[in-house]
Amino acid sequence: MTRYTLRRLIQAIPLLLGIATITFVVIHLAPGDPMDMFLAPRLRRQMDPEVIELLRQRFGLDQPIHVQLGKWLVNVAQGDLGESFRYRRPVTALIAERIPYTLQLAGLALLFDALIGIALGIYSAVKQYSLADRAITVGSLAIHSIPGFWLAIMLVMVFSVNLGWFPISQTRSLDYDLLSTWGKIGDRLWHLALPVFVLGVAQAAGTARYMRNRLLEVLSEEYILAARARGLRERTVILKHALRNALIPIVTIYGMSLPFLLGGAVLIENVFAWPGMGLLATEAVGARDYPVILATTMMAAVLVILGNLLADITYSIVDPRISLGDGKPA
Amino acid sequence: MLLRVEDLAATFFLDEGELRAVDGVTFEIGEGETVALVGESGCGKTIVALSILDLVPSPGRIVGGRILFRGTDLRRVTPETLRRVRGGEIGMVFQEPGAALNPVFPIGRQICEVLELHRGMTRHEADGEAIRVLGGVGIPDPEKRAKAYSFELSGGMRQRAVIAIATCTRPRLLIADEPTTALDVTVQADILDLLRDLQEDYRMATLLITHDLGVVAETADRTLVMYTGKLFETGPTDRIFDDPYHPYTNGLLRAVPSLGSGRGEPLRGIPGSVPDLLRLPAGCTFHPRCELADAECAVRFPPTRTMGPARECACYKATAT
Amino acid sequence: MRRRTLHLLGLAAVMVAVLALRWDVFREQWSTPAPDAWIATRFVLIVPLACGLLILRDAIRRRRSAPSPDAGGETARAEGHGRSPYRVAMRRFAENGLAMGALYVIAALCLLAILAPLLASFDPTAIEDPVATRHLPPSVGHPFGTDEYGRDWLSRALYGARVSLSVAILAVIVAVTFGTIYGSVAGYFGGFVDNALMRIVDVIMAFPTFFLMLMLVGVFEANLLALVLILGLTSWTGTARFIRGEILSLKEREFIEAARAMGLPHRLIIFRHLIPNALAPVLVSAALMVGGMIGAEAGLSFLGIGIRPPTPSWGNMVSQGREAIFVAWWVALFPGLLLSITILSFNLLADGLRDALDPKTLMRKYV
Repeated sequence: MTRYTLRRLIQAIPLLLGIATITFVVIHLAPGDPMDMFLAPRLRRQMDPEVIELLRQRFGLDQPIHVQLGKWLVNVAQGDLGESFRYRRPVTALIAERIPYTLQLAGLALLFDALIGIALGIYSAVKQYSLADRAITVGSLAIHSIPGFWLAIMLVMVFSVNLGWFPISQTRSLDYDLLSTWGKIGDRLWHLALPVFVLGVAQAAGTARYMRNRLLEVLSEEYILAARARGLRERTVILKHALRNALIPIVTIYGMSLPFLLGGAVLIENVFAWPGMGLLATEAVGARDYPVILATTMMAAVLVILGNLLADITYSIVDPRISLGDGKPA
Repeated sequence: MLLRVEDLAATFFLDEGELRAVDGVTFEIGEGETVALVGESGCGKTIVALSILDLVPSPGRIVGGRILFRGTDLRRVTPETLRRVRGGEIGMVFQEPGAALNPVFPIGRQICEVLELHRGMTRHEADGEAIRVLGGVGIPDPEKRAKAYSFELSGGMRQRAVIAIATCTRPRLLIADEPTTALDVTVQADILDLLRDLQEDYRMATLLITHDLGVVAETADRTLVMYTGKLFETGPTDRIFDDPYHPYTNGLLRAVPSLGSGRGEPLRGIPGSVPDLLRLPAGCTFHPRCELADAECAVRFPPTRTMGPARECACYKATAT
Repeated sequence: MRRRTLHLLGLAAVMVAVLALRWDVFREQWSTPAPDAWIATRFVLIVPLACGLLILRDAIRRRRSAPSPDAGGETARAEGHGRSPYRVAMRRFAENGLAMGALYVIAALCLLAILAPLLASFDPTAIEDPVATRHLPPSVGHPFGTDEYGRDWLSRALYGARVSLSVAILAVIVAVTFGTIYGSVAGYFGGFVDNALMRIVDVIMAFPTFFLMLMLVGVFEANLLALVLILGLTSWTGTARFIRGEILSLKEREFIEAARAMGLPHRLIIFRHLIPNALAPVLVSAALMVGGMIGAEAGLSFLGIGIRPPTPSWGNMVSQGREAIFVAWWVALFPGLLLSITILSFNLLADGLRDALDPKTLMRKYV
């Protein structure tokens, strides 16, 4: 298994380099001087020509293109992504501040997606063709089609503004600092409730459909018939024999849902004023804060790659055909 | 009488119509007996087997008949009892050697599961017994193999494992659905020997489902010949092979080339092909292909007649010699 | 053919009804130089005429082929009993109630979008009397209410439909075209070219699509055209991978046969076999993509970086509604509802297409 892990880690490196390269290409395709990507034009007018020259050299902007790419890659690898125009702080620091919030949101949404989606999918498959099954199938497609940001606003309107059950936005209540540790955790979760729900429910709809199809597939396999022929209880057959097989590819599905999760987080963070990476990116676009725009996009891609890596490794643990076999899926 | 199946009927309710996979089948299996159920693909033999344990897949359903296992009609017992019979008193072996094994559990665990369920063993006891059982079916190095997954085993070993799972509870009856069809010829012989040994050791009856007449000749005490959901002929194997009453049985036996028979002799098949079960011919379903058929055969399906000691046949034209 | 005649009649009838109910608006818009009014007015005239002509043509055909006995095959095909895979698929699709419903909804939305200048009772961008007409709840005069500037929300929604639908459809065309070409090149040349091109695809796919769109819009100052291009050029990767796979598998087969067949150029075989086989899944994924594009454009407009006001887009309309959720719930509700219904319809359409075109989903398990 470790050999497989190592192999995947090594395979990830060119991908990471590729991400930085694409960002580099975008920098140079953008209208205007590439320098504008690193230094706000209005600042440039105020600064010493020597300082500007130093910056030029730091990013190698007067060198041939391949040298520039090299410098860029080295900078990125070292975590030097420039300074935010808006905040006058290193971009990396900004991102480091915001990432935990996005991870909390996306992580809990993933959990929600896993629990609810799988449960609904199992129920749907076991009670195939029943009213509940049809309702879940149609309902999940409907929910999946609702734009997340609108659903968020509607829910806020009903549950926060009118009913007052949940907070409208932000990460904490006004009296946060006065709460105990458990109180703080509870408060954070309370504030996370609606955003996580909106982000997770759309994903859960997809998971439920997939789980249903997958489970039905597994249930038609001969070893399930054989298990029944051995006198095993139906519950055991489904929850032990079938599920264990059906769940294996789910891990990959989760890997694939990461990009959508992160993209959706941008909009959700906007609606709920949740200070994560998505909100940072949106504000940066509005403020033409190029270093931040570029860095957050790169970071998002890095997260996706890391997430997929994690999913692959988990898959290799979970599927005995890989962990014991030659490292190739059956 | 260990098992008596009476007038069993199972139908598949499809959009295209009702498919009568099993249409009035009656037979018996005694203690320790080996009975072969023979027929071409699609004649319904697998459904007969699945019906006994009430495992007919939807859109199919048993629609009539009685399944008397040791005197009790299995169609009328509680689900709890049926569960106990399944695996505990009637074991089943399937055609594809690996397909009956769950790919994500080691085979030892799958045996233990059955032992814990039907013989009330503890986890520890079951582990030990599983290794013993694996050794008993001829798997070398059973301690190591018990931890193996099905994909790590060869076809023959997988089938042995499946047989182990089916027989470790000492069932009274073993239903074997084409147990050797998917295996190499040499392995086939081994598996058949294994089944015979187990049968002797455990006083186990076997319902052997196959289309391979060679296997039947070797192993079965009695033979049932099936076609389009109905039984054409039943009787002791050697008598049927020596002197078949039903023209279909005759055709089947003639179609088997024997090893060492003269080269250049034409293969003699049965003319025509097996009819679509949704559009069966009227009367005797075999009559369009039968050389003895006449107008009488096209009217009504022939009733089953006793033609001799322990021999029955459903044909208007069959004559007892 | 009866079904087709019914549809054509229905379409023509709807157009005539619109013409009749909106005659004065029609007269007014006929002479306006504005391009959207021009399209709308010509459309509402041409479509019923075209429908009429088609109905006539079908009737003549039927009468001509009915008496002669050996034209039976022709009639049969005309009646839709044909065995051609397209007919089979179309018939299967037509029997799928949910999918047909979705198709009708989409057709209705497209008609609403095209005819918006005729149907809208108010100018979507004109601000007349903000104080008196701001934030009026839904009523007969304003079925969707008004926004904070007093603009009729329904009219804005109709015009918003044009923007949202056209951007989405154009973007999908861009994505599918680019993806097909890219995948074809990779698959056809194989080897190093294929490898390099697919590595690039892998890297692009690592970016969450919405983030990529965000970055490109942020860096490139998106006008409408640029928006369509950005939306399209961030979503072609799936199609590219699929097409490349199809070509590779086809090459494998054709290579062996071509060794014996000799004569017919490689290229022709690939494309002649590829197009019909690949068309179906690409169509399904295109339908899905339209739904996704509508959502993506709406999201970008909602954030204020896609379509900007005063041009209405359902996305920026929801954004306006968000400001007003305390006092005017209708401002956010209606555009979002329209978005949801539209995206759902495209998803159902894609489902229906998939079921109609994919033989496997219809195979039943036999004994």
